[in-house]
Amino acid sequence: MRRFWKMHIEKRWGRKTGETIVKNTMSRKKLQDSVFIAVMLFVPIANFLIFWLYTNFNSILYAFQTQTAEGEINWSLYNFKLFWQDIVAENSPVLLALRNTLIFFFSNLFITLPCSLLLCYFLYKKIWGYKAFRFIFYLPQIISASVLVILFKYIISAKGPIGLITSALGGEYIPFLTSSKYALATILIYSVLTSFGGNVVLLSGAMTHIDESVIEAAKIDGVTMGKEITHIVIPLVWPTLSTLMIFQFVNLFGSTGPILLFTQGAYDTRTIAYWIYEQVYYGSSYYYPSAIGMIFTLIGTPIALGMRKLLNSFDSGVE
Amino acid sequence: MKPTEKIVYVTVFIVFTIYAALLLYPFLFSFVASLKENGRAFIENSVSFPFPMHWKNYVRAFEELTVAENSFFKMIFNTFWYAGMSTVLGILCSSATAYVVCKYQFWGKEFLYGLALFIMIIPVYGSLPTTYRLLSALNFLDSYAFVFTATSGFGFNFIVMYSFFKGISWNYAEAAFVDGAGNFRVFFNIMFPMALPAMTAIAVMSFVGTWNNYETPLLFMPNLPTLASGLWLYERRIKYTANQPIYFAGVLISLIPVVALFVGFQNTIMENVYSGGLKG
Repeated sequence: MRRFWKMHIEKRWGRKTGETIVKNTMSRKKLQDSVFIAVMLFVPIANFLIFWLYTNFNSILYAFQTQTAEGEINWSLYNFKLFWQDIVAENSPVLLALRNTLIFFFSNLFITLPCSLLLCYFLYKKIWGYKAFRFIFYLPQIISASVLVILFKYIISAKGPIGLITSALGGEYIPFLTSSKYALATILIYSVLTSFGGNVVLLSGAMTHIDESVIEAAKIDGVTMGKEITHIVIPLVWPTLSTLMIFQFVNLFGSTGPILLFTQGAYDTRTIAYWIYEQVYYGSSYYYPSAIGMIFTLIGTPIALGMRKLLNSFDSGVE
Repeated sequence: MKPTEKIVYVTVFIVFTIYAALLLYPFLFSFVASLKENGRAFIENSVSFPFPMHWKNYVRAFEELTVAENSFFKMIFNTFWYAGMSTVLGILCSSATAYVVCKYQFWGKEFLYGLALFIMIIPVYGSLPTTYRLLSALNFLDSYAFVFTATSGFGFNFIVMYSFFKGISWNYAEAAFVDGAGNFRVFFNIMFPMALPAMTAIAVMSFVGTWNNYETPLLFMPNLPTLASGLWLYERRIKYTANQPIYFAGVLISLIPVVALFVGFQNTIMENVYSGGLKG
């Protein structure tokens, strides 16, 4: 770049003058670049410092604080003691929330993701009506859960279609959302049914980048559909697939269904993410949730980093 | 196609059709319900097709759906403000950050790229309480200024835009610099138009995601409800009254912008949003 400018200017104004002009121009350009970089990065960096660094640093401080009824702040390990007491308590609410969170996490990892992959494979193979299916499967992602959940609740209510069918068949209506026996399972089924499409955009994008000639060559070699999926498609979309899996692990303790919309945590449906939200929403406590968040961040970070390393290591053999 | 493959395809087609019907049924249910008459008839049987059909419920939705003194029009405005401004600010900031980190040499460049990856792969739980208190101190709660929290330059949008700018040759910029263009001119007049398809794709996804987000407005803007949070609050209030048909009409109206946007841009989204992995 510098050489190009130098040649251009020297040609016009001679060598000596050219040198000075280039020097001045380059330093002016450098200054302009610095101003440009500063202007472009000012807002994002300010946002990061305020809404990420400050809030997370403050969360760490909150974890070691408690507030008296008079509003006085005390520093102690009380929140961590409370966490331990909650863990060992009979019918521990924390363990229940952790159990529910892990149920959502494993269902995302072992049901939603593999099913999404298969779904995208058949869309990629242009199954009859694939354009319409692609749109319909993605619908739950473009419609607010607050709307979809309410429609789902009406459908499974006693006066809704499911209730009417059950009573027409002479059966007893199942209290899907008002009993500890069924509530979590109902939310889980809803979450699984509406989340297949969530990965459609990224996985379909990755599949469209597969070289057609690879699939054609495999077809000529008589490769079966199963082998095509496991030996060609999965390895070729692995960078995207592993990214989606890494995101699952990054959000391990944040895994949840729309608990607020279904039960507001009643009937043993609380997850860790919902529990923290609930504490802030109802203004009950700010310090204890920060301590719980910190504990799960400390447990979750090595898991997320380890899984990222592991999943990316599979990538090295894929070309 | 082999016979066994044909059987697989037919089976998958049947499963897809059933699944599609399951996903579409709530909208049919909602449509039928929105045409019913208010009153006991709805509570007794919400499934059967109404006769006569009450199309005026759609007009009444605009008149009667109010939440926390916000009319339906105000909720529509709140939603457009929240989703639109968050998207514009978010995309502008992440594109600016990605462009500068990708194309310019400066102190801290590597650090910023590392930071973007770090933020994405480190799970942080429990910062909600401090965020809430900070926004309260900044007077951002129940305020239209809340959208400024969306000015983040990092995250998923950064990764997409970074890989996009990486694929654009710097020769275009150099030629423009020789012709006397400044950095801002190169960014807005040359790079910006080239990045438009990728930006549109992530903008539509971001807009749809923000439009549908109910938890954030519910917590931070309880008196400025959006359609997603407002309809939920309204539904909770009318649970035991007989205004459901109007509510369902409101639900269907709230779907129109996002569905239209997605129908219009689905090909742009599918072609441009592609993540090649998270390596750093």
